[in-house]
Amino acid sequence: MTADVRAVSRELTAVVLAVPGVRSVLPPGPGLATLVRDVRSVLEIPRDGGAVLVQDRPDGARVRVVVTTDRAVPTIAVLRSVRDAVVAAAQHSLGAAPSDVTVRVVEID
Amino acid sequence: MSDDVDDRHGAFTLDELSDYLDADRTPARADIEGDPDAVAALERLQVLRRASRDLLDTEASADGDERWISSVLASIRTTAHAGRDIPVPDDDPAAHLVVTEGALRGLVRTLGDDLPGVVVRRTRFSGDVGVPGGAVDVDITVVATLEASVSDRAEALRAHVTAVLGAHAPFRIRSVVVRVADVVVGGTP
Repeated sequence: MTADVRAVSRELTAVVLAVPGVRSVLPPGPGLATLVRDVRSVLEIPRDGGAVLVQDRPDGARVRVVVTTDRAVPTIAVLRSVRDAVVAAAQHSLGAAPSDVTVRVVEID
Repeated sequence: MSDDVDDRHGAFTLDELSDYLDADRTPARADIEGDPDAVAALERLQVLRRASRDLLDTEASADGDERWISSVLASIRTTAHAGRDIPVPDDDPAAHLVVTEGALRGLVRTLGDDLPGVVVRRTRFSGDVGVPGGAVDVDITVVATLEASVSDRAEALRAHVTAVLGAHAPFRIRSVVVRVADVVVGGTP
């Protein structure tokens, strides 16, 4: 993978935000143990990327998406729409489908 | 999969204590305030929240990137409430679709807010929570006022949760039980 992962992250964040039912995209959080031990560790998340985490790995890109959603739209449908949108956009940006995509809904409001 | 994997502080989970803190510890709950381990956890949570607010003040004034800081704080808040990851049945081996237990607990809490005279105090999911599409029992504990039939309100909440949660949860709802833990005469619960 040769693309700038921060640029791809920004692009994927915009794509996810455009999915109906998605209210916001959050940077993936640390584990709770890490959070309690050192709240400042979360500030290591780069500021100039989007909220979607894109990692360049030898076996392909790994993408992590964390969203809050609208309860007016069925959550499972939103999850699948986000996955489909991310895979399509990442394939366009990176030239190959990501090897791993995780989409997590953390709030339904 | 059972629900007994929760980390407990005294007799309470972190989610219960966070909810209590969200309500500014009002109305005061003697069961929590009388539990030394729970009170210690509450104090740690308050320190964490204060630190988060301090970070917001410091970082926002440093470079004005309030939106970025707000998204980090939202990430912290949802991480603290997340609970278990509940997998969504899906055929794509390269994808992992997840709804957190905290998201569903929060949804049930807002469904309680839809009904007058009912406040959801706790929601527990048990059964095949970790199995995509597994059968899960939903146990909801509420406080209700006495202006209307308590049993009618409990049944209304049970029906509301069954209908709405069924459209969002990645599991099959096997049962929904609503327990009225307390009643309040007059005012709001």
